Amino acid sequence: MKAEARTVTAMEQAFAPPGEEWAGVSVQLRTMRRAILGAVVAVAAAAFVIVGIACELVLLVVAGLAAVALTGLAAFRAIGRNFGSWGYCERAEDLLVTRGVLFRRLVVVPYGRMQLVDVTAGPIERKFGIATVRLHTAAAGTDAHIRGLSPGEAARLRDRLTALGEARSAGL
Amino acid sequence: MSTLGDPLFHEGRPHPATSVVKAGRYIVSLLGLAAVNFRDTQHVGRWLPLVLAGFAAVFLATAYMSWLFTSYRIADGEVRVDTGVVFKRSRRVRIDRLQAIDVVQPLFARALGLAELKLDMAGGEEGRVALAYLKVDEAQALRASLLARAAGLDHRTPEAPERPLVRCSGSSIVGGALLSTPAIIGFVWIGFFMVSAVLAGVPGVAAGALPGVVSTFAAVWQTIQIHAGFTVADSPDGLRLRHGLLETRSQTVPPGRVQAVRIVQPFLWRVFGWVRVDANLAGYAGRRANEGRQHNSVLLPVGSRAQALAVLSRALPGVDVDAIELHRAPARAKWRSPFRWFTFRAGSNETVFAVRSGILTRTYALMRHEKIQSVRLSVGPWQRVLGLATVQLHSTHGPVDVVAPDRDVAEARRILDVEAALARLGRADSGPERWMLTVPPTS
Repeated sequence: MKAEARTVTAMEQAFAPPGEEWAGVSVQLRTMRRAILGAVVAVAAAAFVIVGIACELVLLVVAGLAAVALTGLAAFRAIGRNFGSWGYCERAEDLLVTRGVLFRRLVVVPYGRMQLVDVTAGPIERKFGIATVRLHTAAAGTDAHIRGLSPGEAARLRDRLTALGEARSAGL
Repeated sequence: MSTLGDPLFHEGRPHPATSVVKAGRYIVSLLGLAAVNFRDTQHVGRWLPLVLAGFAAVFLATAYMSWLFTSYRIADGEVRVDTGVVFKRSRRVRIDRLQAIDVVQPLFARALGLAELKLDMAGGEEGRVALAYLKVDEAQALRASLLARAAGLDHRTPEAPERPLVRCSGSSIVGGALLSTPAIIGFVWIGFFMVSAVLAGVPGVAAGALPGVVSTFAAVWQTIQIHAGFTVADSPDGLRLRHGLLETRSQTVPPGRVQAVRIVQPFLWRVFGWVRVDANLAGYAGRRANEGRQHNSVLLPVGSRAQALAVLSRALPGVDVDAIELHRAPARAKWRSPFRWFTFRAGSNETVFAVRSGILTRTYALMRHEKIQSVRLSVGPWQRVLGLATVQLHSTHGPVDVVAPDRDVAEARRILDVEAALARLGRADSGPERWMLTVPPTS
């Protein structure tokens, strides 16, 4: 038991912010994902009800609804946990991004290595007022992106990162 | 014709015979096609030569037009290549961003004494510009002056002298190709069908080996063709690699443009103590990963350990590869990687980070701290239970992956923080892009 507790704290420390707190992302990310989840759950539930009634199988309706409700609930909680896992931190020389619950990740990208910064927002994201900032380096493996930023924060981050990237730009 | 009399400004056009070389390839394949389908082309009868001549004329005319509209210009620190008869295309590359320059001679061009100059920039396929074709000596002179300019020296600087470092023997190239892992898999496949055919007493079963025979021998031949006569020479403007049987290629890899390197030893190479040295070179990131692997990212296709270390001492100057202290992954990693955990090693010194792994094929990858593009720490569900984490240093596209799997989680975070800090310090020290300005041009 004790060993396990130690491991857990070591794990927490490994993903601890460098210094202050992680800057979190907008709650709108959670809201958007839960809204999408709601729509999917509603469609699935409706499908079970329609098929169940059409086939005159009450059991199918009950079992289907129960399954949909359970998976929906699990997904609802997972979305919440995933939302809480996002964090980023702008240091003097590099940007740190962490995310993931089951597969946790922490990426450090030095400003001098950034080749370009993308800001994207799909139609649904725009409805909910969030955007994604993506950092590209010369390495294809660099998968550093921050989802669910408010447009203002995304623009601020983009401008700041580009400015810092230019100032600290280094050759390959 | 262009001359190099005034290298400050250089304007020209490819050699007129370019159209012959470019059309020649199509004409040869057309002739081949006609020969293979000879029976089907019989009904064309005596018109066949005329038809072929007509096609050849069209190819030649097209190639001639494209030659007519191709010109290049070297001025103001950039190389500009204009092409296109109908759709114009103008590409410019900054000389101080050059990652490497190759002189390539396909068989046909070689016969005419021509060569193609390939300029590689950071950014892979998109950032690649070719001047095709120039006279061999012209191409070499142009390469020398471009490299001198890229290095920040006077362009009239004569091509730096070179010192031969390694010369691969023909037998090791052939042996290495035959004993490489894909070839071995091919031989096992062929053997399996042969044995089955004998055991079953049905000769037809042996036909199943045919695709294996074809692909295995094609792969082995390809490797031999590309790497034949591989020589590595050391010069102040970088490592010079020369190789190729039919298509010869001579590459110059400037120092400091090597992003990451690895020493690989496929299983059966152990018998002879052979190793291969691969590198990630920015600019050589072919879209087709295979092309990059086969042509451009090999610093030494097969050689002894001592030869590999000689090449490494130039690719990573000032690093004593054997002196780096490597640490094993913790024993509990066996629950996640039961077969490989005891081979995982990682460590670093003040200039490089190094990882070693592999039971059958052994790999030892090294990367300078200042070449790090980004660092990732990741923990999967099973790793979380065990308190393990994987650290990956991202490099530009290439065969070398620098990954330290299954480290203790606290150690992994320490590696992440240290590498991020060292990467910063290294970059601050690495100085200007014009590499020759950082060191006096001696030797």
